[in-house]
Amino acid sequence: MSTTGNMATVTQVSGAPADVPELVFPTGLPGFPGERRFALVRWGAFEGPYSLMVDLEHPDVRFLVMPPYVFFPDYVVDLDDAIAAKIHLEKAEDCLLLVIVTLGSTPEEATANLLGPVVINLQTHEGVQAVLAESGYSTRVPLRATSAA
Amino acid sequence: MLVLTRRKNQSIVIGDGIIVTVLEVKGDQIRLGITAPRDVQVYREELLAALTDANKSAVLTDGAAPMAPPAPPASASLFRRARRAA
Repeated sequence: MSTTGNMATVTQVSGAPADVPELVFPTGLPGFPGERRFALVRWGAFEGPYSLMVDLEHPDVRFLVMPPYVFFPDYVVDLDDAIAAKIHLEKAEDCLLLVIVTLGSTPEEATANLLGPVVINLQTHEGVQAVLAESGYSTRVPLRATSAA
Repeated sequence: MLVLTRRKNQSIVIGDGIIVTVLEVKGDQIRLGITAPRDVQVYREELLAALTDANKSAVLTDGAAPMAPPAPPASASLFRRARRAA
């Protein structure tokens, strides 16, 4: 596993260590197959929760991500062994959890994908998009629903 | 595609340790029981399709200026400050 990626892309996701130079998704993401390497780049205001996951080989493929607890403090993820094994995740404290945000035409229309969170092993820098099959979560949960509360 | 005919309570075996058993046939619904090793993920195909759709609509392509997402709720920034202070 290479950890010698471009340090200029190092960012800090709130609450997470700042040493995630390059993420490897061994099996890509649904719709974006094959091994994919992403840089995690801070996006927006310095104190904002948002980061971009930029595909290093296809820079036009970028996902807006954020830690789920910002808008969904009660979000619970029950990871199954298959997902954890895919990224060699053994300890919960090595796990960085992010959700992908889909933007709408107005800020109020933004949604988060709680069905398929991105799970990153901070030790190996491997990532995978989990499928929380029995969770009942949706791929498009409005950010507004909880932010207004 | 391999096509096999099975009756109720009959199974097929896939690779090492994956067994799919027909439990019940009722009209056009079939209940399947699946035994698989813990490192094999099993889920309905629709879930994968939903994630594929979601990812394709979430991807930000160059040229499209992304609309700013909402600012986090005040409670969340308080929470982050508390974490930093901890």
